[in-house]
Amino acid sequence: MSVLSLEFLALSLGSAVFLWIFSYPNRKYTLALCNLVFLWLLSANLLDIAYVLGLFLYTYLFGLLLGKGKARKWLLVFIVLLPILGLAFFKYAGYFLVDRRILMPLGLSFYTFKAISYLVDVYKGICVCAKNPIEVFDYIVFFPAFMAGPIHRPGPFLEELRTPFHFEYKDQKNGFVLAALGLFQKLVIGDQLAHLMRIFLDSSLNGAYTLLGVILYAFYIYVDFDSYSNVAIGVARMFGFHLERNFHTPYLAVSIRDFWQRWHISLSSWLRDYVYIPLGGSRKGTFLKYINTLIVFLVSGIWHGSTMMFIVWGLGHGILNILEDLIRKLFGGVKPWMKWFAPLAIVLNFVLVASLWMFFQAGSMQEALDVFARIASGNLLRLDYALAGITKNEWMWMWILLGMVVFTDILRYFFPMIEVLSKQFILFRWIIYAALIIIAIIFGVYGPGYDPANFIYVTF
Amino acid sequence: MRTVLKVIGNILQIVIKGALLIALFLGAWYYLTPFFRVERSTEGDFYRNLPEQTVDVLALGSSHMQYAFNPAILYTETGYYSYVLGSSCQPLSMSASMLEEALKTQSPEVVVVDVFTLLPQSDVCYADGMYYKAIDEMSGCTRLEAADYVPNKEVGLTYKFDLLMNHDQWKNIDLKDIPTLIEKMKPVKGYNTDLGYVREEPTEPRYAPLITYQRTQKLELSDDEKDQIDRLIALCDGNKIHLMFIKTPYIIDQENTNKLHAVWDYLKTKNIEYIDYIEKAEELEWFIDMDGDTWHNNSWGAEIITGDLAKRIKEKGYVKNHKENTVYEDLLKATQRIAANSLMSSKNVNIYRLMEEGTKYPCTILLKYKGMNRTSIQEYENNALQKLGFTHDFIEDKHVDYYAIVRNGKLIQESNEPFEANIENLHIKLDEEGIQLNGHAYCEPGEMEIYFLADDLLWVNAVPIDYASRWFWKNGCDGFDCDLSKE
Repeated sequence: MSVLSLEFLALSLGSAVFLWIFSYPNRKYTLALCNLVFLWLLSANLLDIAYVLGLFLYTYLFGLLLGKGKARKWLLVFIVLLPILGLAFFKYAGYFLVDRRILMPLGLSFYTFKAISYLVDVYKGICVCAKNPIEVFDYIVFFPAFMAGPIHRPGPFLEELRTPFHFEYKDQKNGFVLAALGLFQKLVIGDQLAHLMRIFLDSSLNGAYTLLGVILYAFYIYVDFDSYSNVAIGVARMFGFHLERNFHTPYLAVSIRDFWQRWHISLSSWLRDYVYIPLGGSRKGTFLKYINTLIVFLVSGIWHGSTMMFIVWGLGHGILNILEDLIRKLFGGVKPWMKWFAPLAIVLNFVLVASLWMFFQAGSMQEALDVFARIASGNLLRLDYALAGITKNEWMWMWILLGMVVFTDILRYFFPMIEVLSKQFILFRWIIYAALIIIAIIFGVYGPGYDPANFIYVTF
Repeated sequence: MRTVLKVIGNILQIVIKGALLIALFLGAWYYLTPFFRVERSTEGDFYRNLPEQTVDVLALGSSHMQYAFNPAILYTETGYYSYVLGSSCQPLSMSASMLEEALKTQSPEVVVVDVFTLLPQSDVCYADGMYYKAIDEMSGCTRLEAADYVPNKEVGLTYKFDLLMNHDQWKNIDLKDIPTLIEKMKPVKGYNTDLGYVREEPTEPRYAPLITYQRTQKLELSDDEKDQIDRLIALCDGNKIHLMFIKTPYIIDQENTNKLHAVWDYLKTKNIEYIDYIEKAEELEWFIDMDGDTWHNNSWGAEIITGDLAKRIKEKGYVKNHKENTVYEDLLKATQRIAANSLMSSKNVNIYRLMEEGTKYPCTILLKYKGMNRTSIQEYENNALQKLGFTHDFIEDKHVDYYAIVRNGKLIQESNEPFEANIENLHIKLDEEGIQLNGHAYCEPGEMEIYFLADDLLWVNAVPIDYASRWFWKNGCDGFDCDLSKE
């Protein structure tokens, strides 16, 4: 079941209404029922369902043990190791066993990290251990965020789950608008960029065409994942849960470190809290800090996929992070005059990030390097849409879409857009809604020949 | 109490705004849909533009019917008004929906349906858009309901809400096209000049008979096939329409013959009239040259099939409430001219058919006859020439020269001596050398020459007859490519 499917839409709206009506004094059981319906609609094979339920039981039982507060650190490491091994098996066994294809259960990477979060937070006393297994079940299988995150933390979630549900009109409205905007992002912007990106990254083109393909890929992966996160966060808000935002204008970041504070925030903060800091973080000297940084980005790369290219991508970010730290030290920290170079830094940072995405998307090192070779071998000043095989309208629309992403990101950088929108005059808001509906109907990527199944991060 | 009221207020807000949002979406979808039907079929509009309650006979079916039923022929033979509502590969389920559409503005007394799409050979034409072609001709609820009969539900949904596939047109629309597109949204004015008939011009005379097969296996129709037939029967029953099924002649094989018999068997159980024109081909003198491309009749074939249907409909008195309508009359008169051109143009060298058509369709006929004893003109030929309007007795006075002009069945001028005449801007010269139009001869000199001309003189079919080397009068062949004797 895709987030774009009618089933998901119906389940989300139906669950919201169900939760409004039947959530007194709390939402534990009603939400659990919605999550069960989700698992049933997912039509996953029995083994996958058994794995999720097994992991939930495992997390719940060891959570109880760790919650007593007497467990040793080695026990925590041992307990956490099993879900990691499970994740590693499904993710990487196929890499070693050439003839045996092992299909990874949907959402495994995300709910495994959530289980680890829960166990560690319970051990550390950051969150109160759940006595009721339904609470853990709700956290692990929380369906809006099941397939591709965000990897929300157990503390705030369980706290909201345990408190009586109060119907908040603002939550409902803003949640719905956010989810709808997420769908708009995906159907209108993301998939159109994906289509164009494939055209421009085709190996028959070079020079400016390939360069444009690289830019399009960077925007595509951002829009695709941000749209999913917005749907998940929006639906969660309709259920009365306030998940943290997962993206905050990442391409307006002035450095790689800044980028990682804005990109897939739930994953990067998870890696910081559950890998980087436990390894010692920056507390044990510069050398170990850099080693830890490389380990964190290596884990990030491995988490994304089993091929060597994800490792290259992760380590690339790690090395850039270290270089940035060295440069920062060279200048003696951030100086006030540096803000004048922010636009340049944003562009430079985008170039680095977009270049690394080429390793992320490539099947091999040769494939990734070919992209750069094609850019270097062609004319960088000549771009003709007809040569790329697209129509003039598609060409113009592509620039409008890119402009739309940049423009809204600049607005989002300064203002919480949903809040700002909700404060506008009703007629103005509804004109915007109507315009978005018409744009989606005309320019949306839907209909015959379109497979709405693949949000790129669902495959991780 | 205050909290309860607040919650009720909020819920009301959600319900109202939700409904408004849905209405906004549906409204946008509804109003944008026709805007993006860039390549939409205008055939439905043409049909709906016909004067209401004028159609007497409605022909439904796939291209087999579109090429075989010519309303101009039916009109020529009976004076009845007819129309062909078909589309390529149109399944029976779509023909039934098309009939529902047709009944919104017309009350035909006879419906004729071709059964080709029930035969295995039609499998080759089950392609993308097959159902949509027919659905696109429909309007309102019928359009939506027709999509329910598409076997692939997903495809049906796409046809039902066709903006799903058409919205991608934005990629090719130029801003300058927008006024044209807005114009295209509106129903198209005017009529289909052939009243739904699709003409295939004959290419060459070839008097080879159609090969037919005997049934070798007893087959049964599937439940779905029976349902499709039953739906048509129920619709016709409910609207007091006489329903006839036919199979137009085409190059069939054994497997399809067996299936066709299964169709006829089922119709027998339902007491529904059917005509197998494949079996009747020989009787009707339907030859391979009447087949356009192995599947479709050319205009000669259409003349035979529609002519036979016309005879049947008239004899049985199926049409009881024919009412004259000036718009339809004008339409059919124009269609008749096109039919005459097609049937009597220079490709047709079958003098027997030409003489027969010369009595039905408006045309001008010029004759140069050199009197001789060896003309081979017998009673049949003599009668045929006289039916055209010539007064000469070609048997009694066979040795007497004769020159004449007949226009639309009326003798304009005749003489036993050469003469010249002017008709509109045409100078006609008839003498011993032959016939000349504005100083130009249209055929090799013949001892006898017959010129068939359009009444507006836009086409000429000049047939030379050399008594010594050609055998028109004996066996109905043109003397060059003759492999079938006419008894």
